[in-house]
Amino acid sequence: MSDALLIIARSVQIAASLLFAGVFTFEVVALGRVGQSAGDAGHELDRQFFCLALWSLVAALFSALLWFWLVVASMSGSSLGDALSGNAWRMVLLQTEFGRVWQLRLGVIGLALALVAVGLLRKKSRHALTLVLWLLALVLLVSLAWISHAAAVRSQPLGLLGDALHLCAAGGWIGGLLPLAIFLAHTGVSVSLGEPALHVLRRFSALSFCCVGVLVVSGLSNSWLLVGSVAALFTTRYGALLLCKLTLFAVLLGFGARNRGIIRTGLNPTATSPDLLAQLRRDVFYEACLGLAVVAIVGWLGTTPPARSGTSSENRTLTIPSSV
Amino acid sequence: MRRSLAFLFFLVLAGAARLEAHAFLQQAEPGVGSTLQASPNEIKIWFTEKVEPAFSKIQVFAASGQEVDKRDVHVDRADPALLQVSLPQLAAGTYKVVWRVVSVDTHVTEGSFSFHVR
Repeated sequence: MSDALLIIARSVQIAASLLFAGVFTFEVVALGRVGQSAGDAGHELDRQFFCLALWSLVAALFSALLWFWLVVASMSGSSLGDALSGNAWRMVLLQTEFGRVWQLRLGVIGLALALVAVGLLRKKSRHALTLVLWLLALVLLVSLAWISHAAAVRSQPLGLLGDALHLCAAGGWIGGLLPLAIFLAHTGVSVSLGEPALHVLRRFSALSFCCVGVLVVSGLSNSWLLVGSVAALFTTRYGALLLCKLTLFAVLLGFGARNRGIIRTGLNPTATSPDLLAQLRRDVFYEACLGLAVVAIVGWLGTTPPARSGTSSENRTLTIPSSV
Repeated sequence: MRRSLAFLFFLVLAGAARLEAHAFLQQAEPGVGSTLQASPNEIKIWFTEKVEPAFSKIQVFAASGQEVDKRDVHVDRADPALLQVSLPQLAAGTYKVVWRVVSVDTHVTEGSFSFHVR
């Protein structure tokens, strides 16, 4: 029960952090000044992005609290019912690495919630807030590396750096898919895309291309650190999950490549085929679903002993089922 | 280009890594299953990664089941992967060392081993 809850909490936390980062990465890198110069349509797009950010932060807050509760129970060896009644939660929060990272994350989530609320209430302040929220989103995303398997490895700073880059790249690409879908819904009203909209799509395409490169390199580094051998891919649960993730990633790449082709050569600022635009929207939706599945696997991987772990102990018991 | 990437991927996965992401026992003093001529002053366990001091412990039990360590478990200041506990003068017999540690990535591991004093 607590295992399933933990996988859910981790997955929601990671997905929410990716989405929060993706929203503002899309705004800053892909949308840029196009959104500001689009008048009321631009303001409406901004408002929808801020709403999306608000929901991602709410999801991040609740999943963070659930995750913390489960970790307190695991570390203290107490039941879920007793975990928050004693002193254990204070010890976890104040005396462990996880607790210190959680203090930072909860602080960032609280601050970001306040800023997003201000942005929703005062549309003139949104542009100034976007940059601050983008930085907060990156802090929220990167801090996940400090409580992952990567934080525990001895090969530092390679482990942390690889994981942080992996998270940022995933935020830029996977996290940006939902904002892209919203953007396409706005531009899709008319068959004619217009030069600015096409410019945004091309910038997102270029951003995604760079993110894929970073994901591949950092993914290889993480695999080297956490798996260690080809055999471990086929003989451990961690390896099997990683293979599932790689398979989904390959399909994602296929959709991404097709979309890139459409954006670079198929779309026309004055006369784009409605079918092509519909296909682009469908592909983005499928990509987002696949991205969510990948995140769920990542949440599961985080609760699973890495394939390389624990070969030297003669006498040990791993208590993952009752812990994290 | 694709072949190069695939080859690189294979090389990376085939290469040896020296990383552990859960804290497992790497080395212990006294050694696992060892027989000592005299009572040890302390138990030292080196783990494969650094552990959280607040939630990590070592207990030493005599054959009767009584806990005999001095209950002063602490992580070494210079090496955060080394956990130790002091012992009083132990009589001849078999002792069981039980450990439970939390690694910095929040995973809990536990285990036990025995040693003998002549």
